[in-house]
Amino acid sequence: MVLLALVLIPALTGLAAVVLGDAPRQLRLLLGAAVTHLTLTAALWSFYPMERFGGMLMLDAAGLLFLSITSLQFLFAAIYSVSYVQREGQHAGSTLRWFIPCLLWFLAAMTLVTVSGHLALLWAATEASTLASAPLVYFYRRRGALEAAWKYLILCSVGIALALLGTLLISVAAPGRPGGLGLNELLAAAPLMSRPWLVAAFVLALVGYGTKMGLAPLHYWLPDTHSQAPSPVCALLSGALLNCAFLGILRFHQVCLAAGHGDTSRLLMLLFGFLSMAVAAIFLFGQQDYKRLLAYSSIENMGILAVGTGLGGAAVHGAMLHAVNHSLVKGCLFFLAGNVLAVTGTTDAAAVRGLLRQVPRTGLLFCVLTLAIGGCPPFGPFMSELMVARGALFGVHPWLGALFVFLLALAFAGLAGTVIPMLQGRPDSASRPAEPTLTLVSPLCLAGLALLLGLYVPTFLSNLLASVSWAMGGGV
Amino acid sequence: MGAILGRLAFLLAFAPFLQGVIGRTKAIAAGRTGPPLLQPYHDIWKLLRKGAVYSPVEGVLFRAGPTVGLACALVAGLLVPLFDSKAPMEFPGDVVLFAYLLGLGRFLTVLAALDTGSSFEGMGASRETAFSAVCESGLLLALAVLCLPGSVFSFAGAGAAVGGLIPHPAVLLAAAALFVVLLAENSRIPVDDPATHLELTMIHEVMVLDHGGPDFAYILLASAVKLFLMSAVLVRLLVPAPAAATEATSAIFLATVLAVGVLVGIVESTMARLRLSRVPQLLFSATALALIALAVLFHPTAGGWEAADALLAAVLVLNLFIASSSRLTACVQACGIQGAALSALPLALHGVGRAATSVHPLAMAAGTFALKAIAIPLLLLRAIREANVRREVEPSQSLTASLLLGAVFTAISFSLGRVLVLPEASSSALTVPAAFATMLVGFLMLAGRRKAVAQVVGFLLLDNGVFVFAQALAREMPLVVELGILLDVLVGVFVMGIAIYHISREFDHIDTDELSTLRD
Repeated sequence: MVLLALVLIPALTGLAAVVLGDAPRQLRLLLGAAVTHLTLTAALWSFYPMERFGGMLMLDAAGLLFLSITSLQFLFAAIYSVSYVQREGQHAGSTLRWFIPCLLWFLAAMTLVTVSGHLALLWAATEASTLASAPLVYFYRRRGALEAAWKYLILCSVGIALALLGTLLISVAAPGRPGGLGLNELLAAAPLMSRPWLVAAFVLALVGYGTKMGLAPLHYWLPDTHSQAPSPVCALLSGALLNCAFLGILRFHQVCLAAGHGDTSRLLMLLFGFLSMAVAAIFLFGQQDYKRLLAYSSIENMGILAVGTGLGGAAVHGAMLHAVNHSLVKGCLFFLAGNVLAVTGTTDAAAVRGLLRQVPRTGLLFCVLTLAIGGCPPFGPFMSELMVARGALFGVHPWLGALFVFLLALAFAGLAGTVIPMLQGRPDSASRPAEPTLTLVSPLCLAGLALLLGLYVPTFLSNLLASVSWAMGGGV
Repeated sequence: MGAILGRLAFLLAFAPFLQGVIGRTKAIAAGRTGPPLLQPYHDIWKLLRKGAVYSPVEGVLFRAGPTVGLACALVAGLLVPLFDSKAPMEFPGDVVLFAYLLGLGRFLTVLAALDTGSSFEGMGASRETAFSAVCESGLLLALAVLCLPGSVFSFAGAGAAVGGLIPHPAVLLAAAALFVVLLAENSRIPVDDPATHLELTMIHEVMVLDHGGPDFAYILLASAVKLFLMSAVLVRLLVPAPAAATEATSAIFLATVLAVGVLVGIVESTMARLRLSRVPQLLFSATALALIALAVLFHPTAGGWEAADALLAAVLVLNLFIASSSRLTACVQACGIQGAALSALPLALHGVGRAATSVHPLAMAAGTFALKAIAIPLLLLRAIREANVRREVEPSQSLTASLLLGAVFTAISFSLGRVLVLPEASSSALTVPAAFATMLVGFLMLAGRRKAVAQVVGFLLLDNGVFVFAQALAREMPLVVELGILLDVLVGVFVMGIAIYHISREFDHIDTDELSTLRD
């Protein structure tokens, strides 16, 4: 029942928000739903709920991990949205009416992705998440936003159609009674699956969900979307949605593992992962739009997740920890980018100078978190990237580890090369704009969590990560 | 010898009558009194009694053209079985000779036209050559559908594929292709207008302007024989010849041939001539149809032909139509028809006549019909109206190219279908080819079109392809999930429709080429 409630609460609250219509009450609903959602999710850590509707809804360790990330990210995005709506409210006009309902439906769709135990349902939920978030991307009614929304819709819909084909192929692969798509059924039937169909299914799913996840070479929508969407939406897209798409790939990976073809799926993930890291590292250099910069950094980090999972062993554990870290830090960075955009009015990094003097608190956080996402200790991403790198260096092919570290360094250089000049120097105007505390609550909390994870991973989290890693063919 | 003479006499005596029937049909459709049924005979008789005038620049080719043309048509007529399955002359490969005798006749007509040295006739000759070159492939492929299933590649083995009262889907497709070829080869509307007197638009008629007297009578006779022969082949494709002719079968045969004449008359009365630049596309569509027919014919099937196969063949043809149509409204409507065909698929595969009849296929069919055949097309038509666009004016690749690519993709899908065999025997053998072909054509639309609506149609085709695949496996999938997937597509198209509306308002058009400011 809890699982159903988790999906239904945001969905119904979204409907209620449409009916209510005015901003203050919508915001109260948003916060209420976010807090309730997080509370229920937290409660799930103490007990695993029953499967519902013949295995359609279920929660395993991986689902719980990604559900928690989504829920946490959403709460902070909701808090940030309060200040955002107050700030943008006057010139957003009628589009504001649909902003909060779409946010809530987006949460409902992502929640359904994490709790579905049926691959077709997983697919439907992923597509629903695209549809719920497309209006959010087009929040600012301007040409660029329209273009981004159109690319997002078409590219993700096409990608997801491939994933549906992959989903169908996997049911053909199952011997005897094709058509069954329950995850547990598939895992049970996996050892007898026919290899060509299964591999074809995995490739299609990897390309399909990979499009949504932002894996190269089908990542084009991601920088466009992130440069045009409102900042809280960017935080949700990068921090929650990409992970949910990754979960889709992981489900197929699980079936491949159970069928004994884990090596094939690992190899494919390594390939796509390294390609994404390389493409992102190249495009990070000289990127002059700081929101696009963060988007390319997301592509790079998704590549890290794929590489970590592809390496197997302890690296899987690192990859799962990195999913958590990346969400915390990237969400935080997008909130800060929203603050910078509000102060400067431009996303062109060359036009932004002297943030440390102009808005010291935002500037300092921006600086610290850029270092964090680039992999500096003592923050979480450093630990998780180290785990993946160790897995690669001490694995079968040590040169993969060297490549991994090289790409990380390259990406860090590209990222810092654009961000550091934004912080230094003298601002164009001498005035000190106000920094409302409300806009700094979410970034501060997230940064604190990221710092904590870099210093100490709580037992309950490491236990969960270990069991996810175990399910995905890795070790501790 | 007697059979040959009898056949020649029959052809010369009966063939002009078919043209008379076409003329009458057009007259009645237009509400005119029109020429009498036997007018072609009067014309030919009048011309035969006249003398001919030759210009000094014309040589022997000009004089030989009409005679050789008539001879070719008559010899071709000896190869086709008419009343029973025996033709006066038959041997393996006679089908190829049939096609090339028609070609030889045309070649001489073209040479005769060039011999006059007139630029107008040269223009007609050039058009005739270009169009007939495109027609040839369609004709040969359609003849292959007629003859290949038999033991020898000859008219003698024709009709082996038909079997039973309901024609094989491949036969229907080939018949459609052959009909298009028939219209083109005999210079009928919509390719050419036999009644036109405007030299600039003429194709066939402009070539024979300089001929007069008996020469022109031969030309008229030759074209009458050619029309009759192609109608006869078309009829024999649909209704195989009986082993021994009786009065009843002969009467039925002649009546059906005349019915083809009536059909041609109706087409001429209801359609306008196509722009010259659009003609090749029509002719290529005949080739594409015949190609699909051939692929369907030789695809290995588990059992007999069922409703599902016919539905999937219709889906394949609609793909090509969508790939080659420039009108967005027509694309969307064809997409809706395809949706309707798909909605019948659950019933055909799992519903009617199966042991385990349940509510599932019915609900699936109803849901699919409501969404794919009604709701989504209506949404898109509305988007077209709002955005006020009618045509895909400048597709990134020409429509003819996308038609041919569509046909090639279909052929590839059939070969994929041989490799990837569904484990469940109950689904139609065309499932895998139809699914992949539809998806590939969907990608073609997504990549090759500029208008946002056309791209949405591409997305829908992609989805339809997946749907075909899903139906083959649908029995294990919960109904809720399937309906959820359908609903997702509906909402997707809805959101895309809204986006199209905004694009049209923001940019005054819906060319997605404009959407290219965001890049690195």
